[in-house]
Amino acid sequence: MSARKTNPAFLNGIPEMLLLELLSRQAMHGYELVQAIRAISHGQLEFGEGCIYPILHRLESQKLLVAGKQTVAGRQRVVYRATAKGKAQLASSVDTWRRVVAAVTHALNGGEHGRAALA
Amino acid sequence: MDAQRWLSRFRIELTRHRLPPHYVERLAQELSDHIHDFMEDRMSTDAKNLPGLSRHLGAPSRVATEAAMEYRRGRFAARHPILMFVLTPILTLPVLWATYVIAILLVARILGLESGTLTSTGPVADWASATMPFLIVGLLLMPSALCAALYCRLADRAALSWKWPLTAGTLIAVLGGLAVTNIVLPRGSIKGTVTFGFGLSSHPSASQVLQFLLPMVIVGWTIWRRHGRSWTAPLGKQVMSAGS
Repeated sequence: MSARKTNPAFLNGIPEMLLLELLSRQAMHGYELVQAIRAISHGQLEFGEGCIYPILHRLESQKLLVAGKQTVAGRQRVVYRATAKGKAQLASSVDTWRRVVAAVTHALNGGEHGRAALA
Repeated sequence: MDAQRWLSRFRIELTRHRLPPHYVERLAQELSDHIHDFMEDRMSTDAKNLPGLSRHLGAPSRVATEAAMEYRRGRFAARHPILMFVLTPILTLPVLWATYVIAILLVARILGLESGTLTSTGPVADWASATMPFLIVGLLLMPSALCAALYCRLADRAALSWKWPLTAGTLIAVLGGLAVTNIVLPRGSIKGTVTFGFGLSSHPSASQVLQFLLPMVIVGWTIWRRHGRSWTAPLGKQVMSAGS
């Protein structure tokens, strides 16, 4: 089995993964990110919007994001974008996520071992 | 205006969490911009009253707790605890000892003790002789006490588990407990010397026991003092949840 490690930290890292995914596509400020997460999740992901900023700042301190000032709609805003390190982290997180989802889906669909046990 | 009330409460909460002023300013500025966008986007009542704002942004106390937790998780000490609390204490303590010895030598040079120009009966030499035990005790105890306090503070600021300052404190205590030193002032034709080394006998001296215990007491006291408000910053509620 290739994914033998448990991933408790990963399960808590979903906001980080979504933020890195959006910011690897284009630079955005906090409010845009909140709207984008709401749009891509079709409103299924609920969160305190204010909590986005501390996560962005931590990702920035970990050099996964860079922040810069940009004039948006006539106002100076802090915009974020993913760094190369952030994109590599995203690729790793997405890979882990897909393996976890595949394993859980397999289990929920009554995977081979499950069926044998039930039979 | 309720947006101002939300921001004002948020600032108070951030200050309560002892976050640095530049970080408080940055967060408050970004959230102020966020609220501005939110009010422009939705001219609903949600954007105009405090409960509405709290529903969208989160309660000021919750966002501040989250901010404090994330800020501390992003610190170097939190990301590299083995480097910070296992390796650097072993290096920091010798650096502090060396600094202390250099300071003693500089003072000795300034007072003219090094050149031996002062007679053994001179007032400065008498004063130096009288303070010598304190200098020796200071050399053995001060750096390890400072070092233990420094690593306790680092762990606290990074919201790390009590195990890390305890690890650093134990290393400092062992290293500090092994240190032995002696300072001899120049007297007439006898040259002054400063000796420093490590040693342990089956019957450690009272000084060595004290050298070992002091950092442990500092760490223990700090952990006990922090225990009241939980050593590790409380984990915020889950930031994101799936709606139905």
